[in-house]
Amino acid sequence: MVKNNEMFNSLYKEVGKIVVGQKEVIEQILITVLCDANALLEGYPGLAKTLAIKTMAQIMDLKFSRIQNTPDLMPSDITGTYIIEETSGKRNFKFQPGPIFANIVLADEINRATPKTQSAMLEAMQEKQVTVGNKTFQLDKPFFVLATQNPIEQEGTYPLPEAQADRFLLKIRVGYPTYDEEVEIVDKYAFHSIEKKVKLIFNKNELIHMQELVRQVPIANDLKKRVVSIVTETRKHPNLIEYGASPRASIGLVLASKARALVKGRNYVSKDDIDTMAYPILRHRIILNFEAERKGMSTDDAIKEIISKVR
Amino acid sequence: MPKPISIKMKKFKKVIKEINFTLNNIILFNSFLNAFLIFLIIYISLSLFNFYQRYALVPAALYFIIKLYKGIKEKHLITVEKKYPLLNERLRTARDNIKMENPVVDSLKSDIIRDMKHVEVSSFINQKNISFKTLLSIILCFLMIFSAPFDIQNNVKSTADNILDFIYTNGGNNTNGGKQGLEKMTGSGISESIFGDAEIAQMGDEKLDMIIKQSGYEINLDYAKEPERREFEELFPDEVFTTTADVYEEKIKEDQQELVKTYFLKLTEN
Repeated sequence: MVKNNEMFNSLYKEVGKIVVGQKEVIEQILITVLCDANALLEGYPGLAKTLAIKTMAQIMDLKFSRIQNTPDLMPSDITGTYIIEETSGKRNFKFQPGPIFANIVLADEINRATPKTQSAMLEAMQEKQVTVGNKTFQLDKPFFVLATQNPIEQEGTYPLPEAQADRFLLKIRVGYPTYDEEVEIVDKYAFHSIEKKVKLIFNKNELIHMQELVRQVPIANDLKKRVVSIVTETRKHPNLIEYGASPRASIGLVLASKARALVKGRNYVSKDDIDTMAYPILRHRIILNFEAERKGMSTDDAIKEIISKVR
Repeated sequence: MPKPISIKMKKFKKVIKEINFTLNNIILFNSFLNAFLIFLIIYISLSLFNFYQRYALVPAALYFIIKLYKGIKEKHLITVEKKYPLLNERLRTARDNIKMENPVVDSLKSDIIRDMKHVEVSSFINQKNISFKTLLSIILCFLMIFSAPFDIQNNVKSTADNILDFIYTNGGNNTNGGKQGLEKMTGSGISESIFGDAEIAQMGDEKLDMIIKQSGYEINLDYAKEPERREFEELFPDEVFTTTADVYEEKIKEDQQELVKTYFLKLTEN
């Protein structure tokens, strides 16, 4: 436990060399990675979403690839395609893997891709495999998709369908940095073009071992019940929420709470883990009704109200 | 084949058992002390009104049983966690996952076993509260002992009579006052004290002229008469007589009677 804690502290320190602030975002990306799941990062442009993910990939010695989503992006541009290859006078079809064949895939501005292209990533995200033609290819472990989207400039975008949004374990909100942090950012990047190298903190095998540890973190029965109560409560407020979260949210909340406990250096899940992780777990899984929107309520407000109702 | 129970699990189970045992003992003691206090208060209250004092046992026993049942049913681990924030959520988690064995759970159990050494039994005992209750019990016990010779229940009644007399005679509106009023309130009519009632001291048909003091239980012999000497007639009355008792006679043949006689004579000689 102590060794893991030291590792996470070194990770924060290394990421801090490149990304100023955004501690919560880094922590939640780490939780996603430890849960062997996918995350959706939402924030305004220029908040270091892409930089944070790229830095994380470098620190963990993972194969990183980036897909810039555009409306004309085709599914084969992501999964890969068969190309004709000529060897010793014979022409053969050879599979050319796409950018999805990596450990960390950054799907930048995912809502700009067409639903057909978005759904090409579904199989990879859920099954950790890709089917091209009539052949299925297994993806390397660990594998996770970290997608980003902007809450503005919605014109010409294709919002993620609920079914696809549910595949993301967390929806991470990337907020603006504080005043002091922004001064530091200016100091760091406005005067010299920095090409800072980050140290390798843990490798692939160590990461897989930590993913196994996450599942071993114990949780008390009353806290397990609390998780289920929070998720089921989202289905009991028709005056506030039109569609509540699915049981997948319960599984995700327990898993994410376990990962947070491990990241915080604890060997047990606390109530605080559950209450904190409820926001990124539920915010893309519930749909507010018109009345709540009219009142100017956000999904986070609704989640806050639900948590306060569950004892 | 079942997995052998590890030493860590055994140790942890022992810790949980110890917690439950200690807290159950504290609950037992507290419940008993409270029940005893309730008994004393109700007993004294019933004594004042000269009502069946032994009925004080009923509410005390009921309280003891309910309090004990509730206390034992209570989740002791939460009580410990509340007292020791260091153990908060950890004890429950380890208890709920007692059968699970992996490096994370094992490290949690080890941490708890280590931290439980800082848990002190005295922290679960409210010394101030217990001292107060014990002192109150002692005072009430002494009150009961010292008040016994003063016939408190009757004195209270007479004092109450006096007060009621005063109230009703001065008020003048209610004719049903004084002792009668109290009797209505308490529901009993006659003073049941036997002390000082001369008529109760009787021997046969004659009344003894003596006074039994209420407080000291002393008999004043100054008022006792000299014992009377009585003479009885020597002759028995006619109706007193005696009759001979029947003697058991065996039917022995005449020729054998001499033999039997000799046999018994020999026996007596020996």
